[in-house]
Amino acid sequence: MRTSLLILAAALAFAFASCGSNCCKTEESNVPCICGTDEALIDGCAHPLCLQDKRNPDNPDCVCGTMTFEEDK
Amino acid sequence: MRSLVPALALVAAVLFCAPAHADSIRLKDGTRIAGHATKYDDSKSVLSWKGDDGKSYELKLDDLDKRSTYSVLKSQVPNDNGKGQLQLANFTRDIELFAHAVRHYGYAEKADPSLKPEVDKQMAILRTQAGQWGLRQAKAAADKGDKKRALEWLEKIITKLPGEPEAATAQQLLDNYYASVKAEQTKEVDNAPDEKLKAGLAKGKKSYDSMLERNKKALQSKGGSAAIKGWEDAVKDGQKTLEEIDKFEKANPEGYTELLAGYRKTVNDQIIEIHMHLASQYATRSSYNDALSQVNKALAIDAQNAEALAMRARIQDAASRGLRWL
Ligand SMILES: [Zn+2]
Ligand SMILES: [Zn+2]
Repeated sequence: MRTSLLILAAALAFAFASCGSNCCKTEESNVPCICGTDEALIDGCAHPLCLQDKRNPDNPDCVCGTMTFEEDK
Repeated sequence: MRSLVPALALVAAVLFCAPAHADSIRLKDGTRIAGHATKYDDSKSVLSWKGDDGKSYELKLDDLDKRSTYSVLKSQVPNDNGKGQLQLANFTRDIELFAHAVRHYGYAEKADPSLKPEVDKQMAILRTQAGQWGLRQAKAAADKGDKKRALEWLEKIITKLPGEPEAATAQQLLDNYYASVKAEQTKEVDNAPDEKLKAGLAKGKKSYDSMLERNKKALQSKGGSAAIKGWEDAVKDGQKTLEEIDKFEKANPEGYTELLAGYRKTVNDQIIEIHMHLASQYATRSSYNDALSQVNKALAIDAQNAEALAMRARIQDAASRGLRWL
């Protein structure tokens, strides 16, 4: 039992580390994404991803960055 | 069993990661289709879309909502295509994504400096449209009875678009909201619970009122150095107010702590707002260092102030990439 818990912990740690580094985790920031609000239309959004002109995957109203085209798999 | 546990953990982690790849597209009627783009046929203006529901869609650009259209068009124009960026900027401006448009004008100019006169011309149109749009926001807020928000929009137009006719209109409209919004913010001071407090803070209240008056005058001035001087003096009034509050607390160390903390916050919020006006004024003239120093003064008062943090990030971005500012 103890071994399986250890393996579970290790697997989780690995999974989250790889997850954070390449996909779901947006950059560390205390600037929220305001894309889609009226203010953002005129002020622009200062969320780190939006400023770099990349789409913020956490905000469906974000139109920063370009659409990615993926071939059917 | 033992080998199942890590496998399950991995599946869970993959599931956590999945939404990052999801994109979505919105149709004119508001329907949102989650999935991803597979192809765009420029000659037919048709986007091929693979839905997360497993279906394949062929979507005409005309059937997409404006922002999704923008998203598609943008993916077709590289940043170093000056003329393309200029066209994209005009489209983006006309669907009221003003801040995005400003960025595309910046890219156009960077890619092809000979486009500068045309970019200037189109940016002038953008400023007019943004001003008109802002005035409509102010009116909509006022119609809903939200004077505070109406005032915020007016202040935004005044500080971001100095010299535009829309800013002049906003300056005239300011009087309709300023006094009542500010009175609402200071009503706890005006309704001080006892005479000792009222008398002890009389001087402070005077400085505070002076700060508000100077702020209003600066907002309604022609901008430039008169506005800057007005706001700088207004900040000094604010600091005097804080000193008076400190003095009162020293003389009356008990019973007022919470109340005075509330007063200080009201004063500090107003001082921060003025620093932000100053920052905006400087940024509009591309004086990014001066703008940053004002934002830092605001952050020295409240390190977590969302508006100041956002402004700092935007100034640093504009300064480092040499982009235009709205
Ligand atoms: Zn954003
Ligand atoms: Zn965004």
